[in-house]
Amino acid sequence: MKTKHTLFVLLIFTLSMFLFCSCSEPYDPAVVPETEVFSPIYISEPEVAETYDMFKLRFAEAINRSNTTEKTEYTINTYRTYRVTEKDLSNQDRLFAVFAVKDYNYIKETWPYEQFDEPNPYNPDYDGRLYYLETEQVEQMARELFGKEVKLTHEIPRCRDDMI
Amino acid sequence: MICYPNYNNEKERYEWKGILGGGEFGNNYYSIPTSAEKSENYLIIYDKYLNVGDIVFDDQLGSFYGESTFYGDSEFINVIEIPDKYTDEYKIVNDKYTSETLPSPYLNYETKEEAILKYGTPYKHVFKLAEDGTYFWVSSEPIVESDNSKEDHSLTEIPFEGNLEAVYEAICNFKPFRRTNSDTVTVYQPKRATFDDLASEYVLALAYDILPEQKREIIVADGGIYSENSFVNGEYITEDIQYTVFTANEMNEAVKTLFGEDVRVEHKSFLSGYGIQGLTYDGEKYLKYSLGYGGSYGFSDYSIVSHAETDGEFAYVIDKFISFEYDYNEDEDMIVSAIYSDGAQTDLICDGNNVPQIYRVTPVGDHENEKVTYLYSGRFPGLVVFGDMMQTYKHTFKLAEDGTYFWVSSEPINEE
Repeated sequence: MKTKHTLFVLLIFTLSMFLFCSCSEPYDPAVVPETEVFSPIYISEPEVAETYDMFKLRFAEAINRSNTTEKTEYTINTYRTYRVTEKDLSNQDRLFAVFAVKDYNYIKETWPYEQFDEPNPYNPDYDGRLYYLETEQVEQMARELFGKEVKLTHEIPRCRDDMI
Repeated sequence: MICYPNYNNEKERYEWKGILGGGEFGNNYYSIPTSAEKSENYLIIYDKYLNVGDIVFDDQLGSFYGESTFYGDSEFINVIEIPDKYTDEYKIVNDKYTSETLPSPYLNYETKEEAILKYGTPYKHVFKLAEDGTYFWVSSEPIVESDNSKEDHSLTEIPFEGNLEAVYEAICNFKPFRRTNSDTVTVYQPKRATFDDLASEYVLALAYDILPEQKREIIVADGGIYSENSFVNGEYITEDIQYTVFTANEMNEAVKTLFGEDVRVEHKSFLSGYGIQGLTYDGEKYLKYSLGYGGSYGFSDYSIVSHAETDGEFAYVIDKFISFEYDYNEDEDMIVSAIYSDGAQTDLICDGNNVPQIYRVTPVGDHENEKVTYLYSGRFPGLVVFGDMMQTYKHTFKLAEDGTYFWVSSEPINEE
């Protein structure tokens, strides 16, 4: 009798655990598990320095006075007065981070292009080329910045003036 | 800088014609990484942040000017007071602005790092490891000290200014001229240093620097009066000696100002500062002569103050310290040969050949294709990049009855 009772309790416990796990929160990379054990690392280590450089370029460079100027409400800013995660960013924020570049020449050297016009000999910046990225490439760039769960809607990235 | 592509719905791709142009200026900000920690799947980077805030662009001047309101966030909510001494000024000379000095919205270049570390808002940025070995961003947040942690200790942060700053500068930021013997070992020692751990010559050199200015003026002697002092500390003193005189009691008062009423210093001859002046002790008074040269030989020490706090009886100044030793390479370029975490140069952080690549400056000109195996002296990429390599020290000062501070101890500490 005692053995049957023990087995019954174990069955209830197992079912409870199963139900608990099924109903738990979905995976969120922004939630650091308590099991992670952290150790100090020099900020000069390449993985730290490169990650911080990426962060400054993609997430910190493009701040603007978003709360007071309607015109610039789309710019990303991660130095907020509260904790901000990917879920707090708009689609335009994500596009903003994706299209942040250190140097325009990087685009000219790495993006595919179509020659649609003659280069202007008097303006070396105008090369008559149309550089482009397929949506899948842009989505891959977004995944590299925000993780593979990120969702991106393709639209014209708003910018700070009409340059297009 | 961002690229401004169009999105072509028909071709389902982003397109850019390579047209460059201007645009609104983004807000200027400063940020400095201060520390980092890593786990199996995450990387956390801590930094300090300052938003420059409102600035004015003058078309004729072609520059920004005006006093900034600094903010601790990019939402322009928390105003940060930055003392004027940390901000810059423009000197303008042209048709419109004739020799006019205008305030600059930016931090002074020389003290910028110190201001950011002292007044910037601490932030925590979390990144997760991706399958390809890189990290992607997952969150950023300001670090707010909880009420519980405030109750755990009775320390409160205080401004690093006034007498506390003056005593710190006099003792901790003193630059010895030579590091050939124990006489010039600073307060930055591998273990806790108190008054008894400092050489008398060093204490006297510190005290000499705070004597009233008139006591430190050089007076030209009328030839040979103090000829018995022609050899001092191995230096030959010529007849056109320059000297001034002050008593041992006057020196005692200066020592007590820095180290408290209870200390006693042994009076003896010593060299001051960068070794430009020597002071001989004749049993009653100090005589000063000029060596006419000086400088720090083969090393330099750097420190950056983080903050100051008090428990009511003591004040604690927390700073970071690093000491460079120099040598020459085969091209007779001065290079860093070793980096130490203490002023006695006993605790080696790394030798010149092992200076992490990120700290090195790429050679230019004929040398630009050479592998960089050392860090060039005088071409540091900003002291702040050494921040994580620098040793944190805690300097303890006691509050005297007259409301001034005097130094008690300095010790290396591990940051929490």
